[in-house]
Amino acid sequence: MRPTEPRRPALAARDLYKNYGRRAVLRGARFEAWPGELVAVLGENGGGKSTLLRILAGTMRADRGSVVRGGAMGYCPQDCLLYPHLTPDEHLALFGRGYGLTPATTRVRADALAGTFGFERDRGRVVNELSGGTRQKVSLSIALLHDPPVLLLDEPYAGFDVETYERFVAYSREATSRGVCIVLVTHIAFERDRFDQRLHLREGILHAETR
Amino acid sequence: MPRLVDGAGRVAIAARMLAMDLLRRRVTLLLLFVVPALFDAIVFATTASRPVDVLVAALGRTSALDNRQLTLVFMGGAAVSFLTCFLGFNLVHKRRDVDARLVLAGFRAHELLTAKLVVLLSLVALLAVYETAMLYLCFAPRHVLGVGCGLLLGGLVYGSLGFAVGAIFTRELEAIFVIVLLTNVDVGWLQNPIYYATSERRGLIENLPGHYPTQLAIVSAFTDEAASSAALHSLACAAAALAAALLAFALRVHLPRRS
Repeated sequence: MRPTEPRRPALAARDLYKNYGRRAVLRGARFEAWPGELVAVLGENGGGKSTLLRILAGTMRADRGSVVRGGAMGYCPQDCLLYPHLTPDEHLALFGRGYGLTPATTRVRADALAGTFGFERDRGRVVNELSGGTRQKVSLSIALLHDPPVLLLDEPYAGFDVETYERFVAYSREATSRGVCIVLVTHIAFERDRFDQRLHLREGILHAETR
Repeated sequence: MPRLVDGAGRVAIAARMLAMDLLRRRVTLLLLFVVPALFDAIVFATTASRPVDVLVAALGRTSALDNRQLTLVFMGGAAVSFLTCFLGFNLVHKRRDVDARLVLAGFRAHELLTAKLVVLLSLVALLAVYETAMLYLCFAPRHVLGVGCGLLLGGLVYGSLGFAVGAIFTRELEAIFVIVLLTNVDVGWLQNPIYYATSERRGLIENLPGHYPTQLAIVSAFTDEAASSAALHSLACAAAALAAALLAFALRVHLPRRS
């Protein structure tokens, strides 16, 4: 999928540094992700993967370094950041408004995503009454709602059953075929060959292993 | 112009969703509607209806007022302030991560802040009207509107302080401790006119945030005197508390910049 002609990367991290107190979490992390690529960020628990993704998304500032974003992004954080007493449909309506979608477009996209990830029956129930897996599906759907060219997903399939995981894999294949760049944090890499880049975060440095 | 309309639309939906998320909590509803009624019922059941001489600070003289009615007004103000302080706290605390996600989605930080303030003001107004109606069921205040304004401004002062507490304290237990202490000491204790009359530190009590709204409610409930001074001071207190809340939010709640 790597382009043959010179193009701008969909996402680039340039020498990112981040410390928590005296503990260095990122020590010059850098990479480039291209349109249509599926990129895995791998590493041990507590190794700084989520910190890296937060910095890439813009919810956290790096101590040093910069991030270049090629377009609109969808961000699915590790923790489902949702209002506990709103329903999935209400969340999608709220975020749809933020993304600048019309209510009609939001409804169409919400219908499609609820069908893809199988939470149609839970759309009218408040988040507090949903299982962890369903909350994760809603959180992922919020990130996908506006069909952005760049997706940052932090362990998006934690809590998914096998069927939903397979649907997610199919979705990511279809999205990358359309040129969507997906950066996915995980500590377990299933189907290693499916990724265009595997970035191992070790001691604050990203070690790229290109297929 | 279209940008302004878009912004107003985002504020409207954010405020609607915030209000729904808040009002669907059974405990919140219980607090909002049962606590004021419970306070009034307890006062009604335990306080004798007899005249007491109290020093009304806003008038600077002693008046003979009905003990039960006076306690109802004082406790009504305390109930509204206590509840709005918690509401203000809830609108900020533990929501900053979701707020950050909303900013990434396209909301601007000031739109979310405006939505929170709209919800806070609406709930303060609702509570003030509700508590004024409860008081009216118990006795006929001389100037109902003045009483309502006193409760409203007291609620606005403490709602704003709750908002500031939610922004400053990240741990829930510490924040709740501050809210309980602040509201109990001020509107639940020191602003009691019977206590004020015997206090040797009246200057201190007069500088607490709940003083002027309480005085506005009391003067309006029991006298035909002009309460404009108490009203103006209450407005100034509410404006100062709101400014403190906005400052705390700006300094402590770091939302990402929209790229």
